[in-house]
Amino acid sequence: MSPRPVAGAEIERILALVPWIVAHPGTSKQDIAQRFGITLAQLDDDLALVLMIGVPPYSPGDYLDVEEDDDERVTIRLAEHFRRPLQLTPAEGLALLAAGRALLAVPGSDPTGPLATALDKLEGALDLPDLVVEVGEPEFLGAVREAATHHERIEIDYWSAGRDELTTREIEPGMVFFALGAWYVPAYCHRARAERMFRVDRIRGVRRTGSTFEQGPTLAEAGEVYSPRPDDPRVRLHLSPAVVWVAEAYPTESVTELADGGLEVVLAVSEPAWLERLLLQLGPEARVVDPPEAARHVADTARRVLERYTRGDSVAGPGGRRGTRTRTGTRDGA
Amino acid sequence: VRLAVDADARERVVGRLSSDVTVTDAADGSAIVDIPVTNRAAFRSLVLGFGEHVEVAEPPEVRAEIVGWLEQCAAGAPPR
Repeated sequence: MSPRPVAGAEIERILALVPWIVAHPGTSKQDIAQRFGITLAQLDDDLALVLMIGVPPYSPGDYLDVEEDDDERVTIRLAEHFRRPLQLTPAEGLALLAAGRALLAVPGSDPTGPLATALDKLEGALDLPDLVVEVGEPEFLGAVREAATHHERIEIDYWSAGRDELTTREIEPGMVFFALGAWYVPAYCHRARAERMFRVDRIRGVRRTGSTFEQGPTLAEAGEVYSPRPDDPRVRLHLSPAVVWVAEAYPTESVTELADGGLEVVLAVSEPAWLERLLLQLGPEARVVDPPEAARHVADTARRVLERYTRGDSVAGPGGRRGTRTRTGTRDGA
Repeated sequence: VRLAVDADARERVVGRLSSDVTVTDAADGSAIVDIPVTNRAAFRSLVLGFGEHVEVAEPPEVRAEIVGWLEQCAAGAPPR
């Protein structure tokens, strides 16, 4: 499920496109395509990609936005982050340096190439004393790792995003690993009586049980964040061209191109709540082909959410609910 | 945009957002969260990801957009 590779030329073009369109809001797509020597279809692809550009933690205010009016005139709105000149704080500079050094350590990287030269300059500008870089970790990572090392059975409080519930369960943790921006631990779960993959940052508490276990050979291999099980239900969806990213973001069992530029995909679904949420987010851009009950589930979910908007105590209107404590956070302006 | 967030989703919603939000906590654990929005699609995805635990309170046009989206989803299949 690796993301679609983006060619260097595409990146270069987008890097040129974005500031130009920002400086010339309301230019027609025809004029933009002509200026950059690309087809309208290529421009549509580029603009679809621009919509995905943002900075962590990817709040709705952290992305670029592309607006196209009825006459196909385009405006790009920058998130606040991109409007500021790049002035790194020492912490940001250090993070960039650490990430760059990690990249240089990858076999095949050029140790004397442009990246190395840039990092040397950055290191000089930061004027660093000797120090050790510590990466932020989830609260219970150490406890889970220790239990895994000593083959200790532990009890955890775990928030399941798929079902939106907090459960307590005993697990036999395997090797902890980092993938896709999060720490995971594959483990035998006594509650499910099966192997499960847990995200360490969703563990809300860890307690030792005092018992140990034999490390079995069957724990999922590190790096496989979600392994569809044979008995997981399958769902067949038609995706419009606007949401074909779904095929790249989630493990698919089959992908077929449709005449309209969309895709037909088959996904394994371990949690119905996950599918309902995904289909709510995709809305009219996705259609359930099979099984029909999945379409009914998402329609029911939509009606349940709509009830909140129509019931008597809805918060619509100025003032909203009463407030007692306010916390205001602002960017540090760095 | 102003969101009304249930008590049991408050921590997850605020933890998901950048630092430039304003959170007004109510005595019952629920909260009003004001967030900047530049990308409507990302915003819609965020809100709908929390299901009935989060409601768009203001402005009216964004609220209407979410309601319209949900109505399209609901029209996909008749009630059981």
